[in-house]
Amino acid sequence: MILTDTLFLATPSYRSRAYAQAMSAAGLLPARVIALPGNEPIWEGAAEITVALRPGRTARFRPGETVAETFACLGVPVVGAVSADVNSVEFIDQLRTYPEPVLIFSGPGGVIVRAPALGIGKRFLHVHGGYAPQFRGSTAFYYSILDEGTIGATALWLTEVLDGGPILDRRRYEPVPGIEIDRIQDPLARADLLVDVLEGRQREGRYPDGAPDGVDAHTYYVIHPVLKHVALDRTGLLQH
Amino acid sequence: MTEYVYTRRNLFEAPEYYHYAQCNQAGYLEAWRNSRRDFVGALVQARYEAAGPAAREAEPLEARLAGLTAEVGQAGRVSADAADVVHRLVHKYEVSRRLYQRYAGDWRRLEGVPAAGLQTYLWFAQLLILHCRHIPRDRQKLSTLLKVCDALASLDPATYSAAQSRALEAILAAESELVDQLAREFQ
Repeated sequence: MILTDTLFLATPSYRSRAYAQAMSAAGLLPARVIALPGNEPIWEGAAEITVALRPGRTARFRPGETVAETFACLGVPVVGAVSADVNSVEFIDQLRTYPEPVLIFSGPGGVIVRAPALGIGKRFLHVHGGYAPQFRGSTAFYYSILDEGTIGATALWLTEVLDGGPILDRRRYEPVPGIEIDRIQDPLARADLLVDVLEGRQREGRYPDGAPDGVDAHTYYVIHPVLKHVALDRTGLLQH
Repeated sequence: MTEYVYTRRNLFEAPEYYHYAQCNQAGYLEAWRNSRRDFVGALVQARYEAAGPAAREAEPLEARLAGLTAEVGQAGRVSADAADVVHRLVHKYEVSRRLYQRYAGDWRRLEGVPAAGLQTYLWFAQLLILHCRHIPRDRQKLSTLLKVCDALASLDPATYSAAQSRALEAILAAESELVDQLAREFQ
């Protein structure tokens, strides 16, 4: 099933790979993929990893499989972005040439999409790695592991407020012992929630507008390695 | 052997942003503690050779942080003003890894104002410590404190005056206690 109103903007990353494979597994495909330039990460672990994300939802992830490889035989066109900078005039002009009004955003980490890109009449669907608004910002899931022993994901429409846009859906996940977080668990949790949103769009025929929620909002910055270590210890992810 | 790598270069000259840190080795905390212990040893050694501080006027942000640190220490609680200043400076430090000697009333950076001196970072660290002691679940502030301490420990110990050296030794001891306290929560 092709989602004719939906683009997928993918930078080379494990998150983009998880999104592509989750969409493929759910049979919900974007109309096209815009591939941002960059170096594909090299995976040297197991070819496939199975993770029980939550009751009733087990993900199979091939971390070494690129987005282009996932979509190669599914009829989804992959086009190259003219710039790696999603805020550049060239890239914004390119986006304007596509008719799809919704863009699944899997851009480079830490990049903030600015007003000119957000103002071209397309909505940017982003799945943040944290349970917003309590855990906004960077590496928020490590802070939530320290605070409450969970990792979170929040699907929202991007606005100029960092992780502060209208929320479509959100969920907390129990960390899975022995499965690394940065490259596996966080991407898979986000992909899981993304598929839920896409399934909702499929059922309803349209994306929800989402609801703003700024109550008890906290914005986090990249966690210091010592605190990250304590969080990893809490989830049984230390190498002995 | 696990090593702590974040104080090997001058972080005021070449800031560190800690993306995708590899810290999942079982001996990581011990490596961090050893790194801090070695620095404190060098700090104490250099103290005996340090010249007395040159008389100078305190920078505006430095003076404000000194005042707030004294106020929070005496009151035994974090006032709204102190919490707001900590919040603003954490944002500024996390974004640019720099503080400046003075800001506009709405915390905008002012054109031409120089970067803050070492003493401002020492007061900032002390205020963060007090904040973390009073509000221990505010992990963001502890994370920022660790980064500020990395930066301070990335300098040549001889950089510090004897008074600054003693203050930094106390800061690193308090930092260690706060990390121990956090680690104990999960034992």
